[in-house]
Amino acid sequence: MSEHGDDVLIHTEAWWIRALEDALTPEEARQWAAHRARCADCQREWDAMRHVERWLQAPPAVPALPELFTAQTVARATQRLQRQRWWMSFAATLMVGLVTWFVLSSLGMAVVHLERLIQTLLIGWQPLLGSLTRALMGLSLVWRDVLPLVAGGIVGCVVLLMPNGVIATAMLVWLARRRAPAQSA
Amino acid sequence: MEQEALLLAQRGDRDALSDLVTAYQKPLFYLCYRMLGERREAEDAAQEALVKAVVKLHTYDTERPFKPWVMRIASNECIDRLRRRKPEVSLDDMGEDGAWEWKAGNSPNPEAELLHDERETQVRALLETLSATDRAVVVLFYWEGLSYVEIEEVTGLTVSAIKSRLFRARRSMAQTLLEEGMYV
Ligand SMILES: [Zn+2]
Repeated sequence: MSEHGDDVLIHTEAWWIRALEDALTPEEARQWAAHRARCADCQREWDAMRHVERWLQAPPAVPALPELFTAQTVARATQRLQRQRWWMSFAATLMVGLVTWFVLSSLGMAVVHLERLIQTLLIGWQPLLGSLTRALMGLSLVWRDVLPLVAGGIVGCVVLLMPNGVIATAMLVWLARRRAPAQSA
Repeated sequence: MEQEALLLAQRGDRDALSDLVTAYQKPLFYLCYRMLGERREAEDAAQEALVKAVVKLHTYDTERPFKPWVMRIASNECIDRLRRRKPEVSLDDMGEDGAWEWKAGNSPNPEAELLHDERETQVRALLETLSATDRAVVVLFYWEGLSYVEIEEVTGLTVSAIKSRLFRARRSMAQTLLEEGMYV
């Protein structure tokens, strides 16, 4: 690449950073010097930057710290730590309070709800239990009169509900019994 | 500092706090003064940085060096303060003799007396034209003598970003010099 062709590379930030850090190779340093010889803008800016660089080399004078600086800083730090602790304990108390309130109120609500549940159950079940008990007691007193009716009902149900097998079997048995005495006679 | 001493300082032990402050007050004040350019504000910023460091000690990773951690707090404190400031230096502040008047904030600067060297005044004025972060990088590199890696620890910027910022800051200052005819 020609020296003029390197101008684009030389005008990059990366090149200038390396030039300022004295990190150019001898060949690059030669190219850089040649470029500055024909590029007035680069030469001017380079000189100004080297000037700034020299100015920056010497740190400005710093005044001494006041004698009370350490004590004042320690006092300020202690105060801030105390304030931080106060806020932390306040936040912790607030949190504990909120959690306790939440737990207690939840418990209270649960108790109220349980009581209502029991009440509802007792009120709702009482008439049902009463009528059930009365019905059972009545039945126990008149069971002999009701028994044939109950048995008939059961047989009727069986006959009605399972007609195919039961009716057929019962008919076959009845027919067989009628034939048997006729044959033996 | 030793971990035990830091723990004691965090608990508010006065001796441990005093040791911590004594060990770091100077470098922090130097950094703040060089960044802010005003003695009283630098004292306040350094003090605030130390207090913040004490309060935030529980967040410090003991595996890492302590100084860059505390310098980072101070640097951030100064950057915040610089950003809160109104732009106070304009090209009109140039004196007839080409020297800049070192103005920090709107208050009259009692530190001007300290800056006998005209060059120092000019450098400070040039520094005022930079952004807060660029100013921090320049101060840390040139005046605190930190390496790129150390500046990375303090600012959280990458090494390439630091190099780029340093270069642009220098170029910007050079251009101001040229524009104002301070350097021909
Ligand atoms: Zn050029």
